[in-house]
Amino acid sequence: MRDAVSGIFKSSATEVETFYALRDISFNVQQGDTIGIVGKNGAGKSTLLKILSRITPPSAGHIKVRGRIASLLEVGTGFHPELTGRENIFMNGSILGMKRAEINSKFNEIVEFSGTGKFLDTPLKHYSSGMQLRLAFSVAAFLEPEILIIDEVLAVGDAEFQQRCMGKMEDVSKSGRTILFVSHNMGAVQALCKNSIYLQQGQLKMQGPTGQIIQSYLNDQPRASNTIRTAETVKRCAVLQVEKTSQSEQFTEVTVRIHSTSSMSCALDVRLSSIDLTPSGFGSLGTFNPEEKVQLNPGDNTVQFRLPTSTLANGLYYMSIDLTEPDKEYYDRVEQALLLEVANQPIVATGRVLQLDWKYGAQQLQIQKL
Amino acid sequence: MEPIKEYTIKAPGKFRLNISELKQYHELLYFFAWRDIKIKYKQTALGFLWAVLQPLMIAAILAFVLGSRTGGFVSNFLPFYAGMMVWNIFSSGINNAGNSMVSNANIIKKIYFPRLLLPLSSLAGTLFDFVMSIPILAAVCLLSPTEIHIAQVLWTFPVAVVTMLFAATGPALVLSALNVKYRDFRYVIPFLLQLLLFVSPLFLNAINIPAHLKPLLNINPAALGIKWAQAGFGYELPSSMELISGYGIYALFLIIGIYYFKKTEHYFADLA
Repeated sequence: MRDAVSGIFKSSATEVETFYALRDISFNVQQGDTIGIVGKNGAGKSTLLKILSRITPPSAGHIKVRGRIASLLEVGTGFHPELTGRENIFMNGSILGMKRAEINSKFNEIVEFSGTGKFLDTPLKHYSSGMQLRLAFSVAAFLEPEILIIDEVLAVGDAEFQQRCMGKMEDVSKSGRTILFVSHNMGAVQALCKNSIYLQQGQLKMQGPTGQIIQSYLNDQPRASNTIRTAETVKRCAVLQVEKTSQSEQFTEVTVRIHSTSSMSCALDVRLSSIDLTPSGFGSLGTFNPEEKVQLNPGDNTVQFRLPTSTLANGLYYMSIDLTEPDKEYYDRVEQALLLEVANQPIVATGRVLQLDWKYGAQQLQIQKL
Repeated sequence: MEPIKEYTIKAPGKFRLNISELKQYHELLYFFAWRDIKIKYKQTALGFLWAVLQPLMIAAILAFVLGSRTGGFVSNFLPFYAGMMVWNIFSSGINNAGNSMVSNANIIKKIYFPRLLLPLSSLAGTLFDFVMSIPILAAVCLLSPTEIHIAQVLWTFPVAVVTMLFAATGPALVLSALNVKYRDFRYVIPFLLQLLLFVSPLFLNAINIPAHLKPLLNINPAALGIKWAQAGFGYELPSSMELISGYGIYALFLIIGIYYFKKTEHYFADLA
């Protein structure tokens, strides 16, 4: 109605463009599988989950489901601040599809798991947000669906809560249930899922072993995080551009464009820091070994090097670049020139979860000039 | 452990009521109604006394003002009170059910369950206020000096309650579905209810209306329920003509309500 009225004021009929959040998608998930679903924002992951959990119907196509689907994006749905903890457990459990008898029988376990037993008869509005979250997760954890959908739960809550989520998911998958796990955290996807699905612009781009999927996903990452500067302000030499040229499980190859005003040589230092800017690695062409120094000609130069990532913990890293004459002069530096993600496959086959050369904390990076 | 269910998710197709699914979720219907009742009088000093006081006071005012024309406060209070009690089922039922989709939007957006449960549970929840008022009605009946046909009240009053629920269900379903798409109905509903109260037997009994206009008043879906409620307190039973047309309209409304609701429910999660 409002649309119709406001339509009067529009100059001409607007062309309607049909947008499909998902199109031509077909895949099978076997019972007991843990499947990762990766893709950029807007790739259709959330739409897929909404359709799977029957919140929105598809406009075409069908999905055959065997068993009850529950999703952890529903944590705390139906919680009411005026109701007590006890009442909310019943309300929330019922909304999630539990029968009253079922809730009764699991009630003590739920309360114990949540650790909110003392406040069971206090209205929820007096709970801290952490307590609310714990209570909510506890109800969901005892749901025992045949199929569990998890959407970025790891993004919320403290470390302990995340740990608990991960633990619960492992329990669930061990008990023969099916898990669909959506996350932007490639490390978590890698750790939990054997196989994955890669969605891109509403289409199924790839399906297969998680390692391959993640590689493909990371290779498609836009180069937006790469730094571009102009040559105008350069005094001696300066970094113009830092670009990730390729990435495999063991190495990341980086191309650096450097502008120089004269023929010279300098050391190129690479600093890695974690996403919270904690230093986690240092490597150099030239600082440790003067023979590796980068030779620059007047004008633009291209330097390529390879950064081994097998010694790094899974996660996101910022790369910063410095151009120096060791112990003499500082030419240029670019902070957080590049964002890169490390997603190493743990070597489970040989009984090791970590690779032999895996190290903790800040370490020396063995970068190789190409 | 119940057997694993197999089902297909597909594009919304033909109209299906899916009663078996509603049965499967009947506990949730109860929980929604229970929650609404629990929340309603939280953090109030008088608590559920409010459920009793509101119709009591309005009936008293009506009996005082309108009753002065037809026999005074004492003889008019009981029929007004009985009428107000069932009117409240209709009025708060439609009001709460009409807003149920929007006020539960956060749940609709995250979890699947038969959407019909929400307006239906709102309707069921309004019975609580009614039940709370019954002891007062009984007390007033005992104290009242006017003649009451107890035997008649004992069957006409329950009929009035069922009639009101029946009358409210259809409009409640249509309005709750419309309210999701057009929030205008949030303002339309209270206005509409006020209008219906003014043209209901509660008000019009005290006014002389030309005989040829009287059938028109039966269009009011709340009319029949109020007539049933007042029947034991010195008023006539509804005529067979009124019964046929009344229940016919309710049934029609109910069919339209269910059909429209089921037709539109698939976009509730996107618009709520």
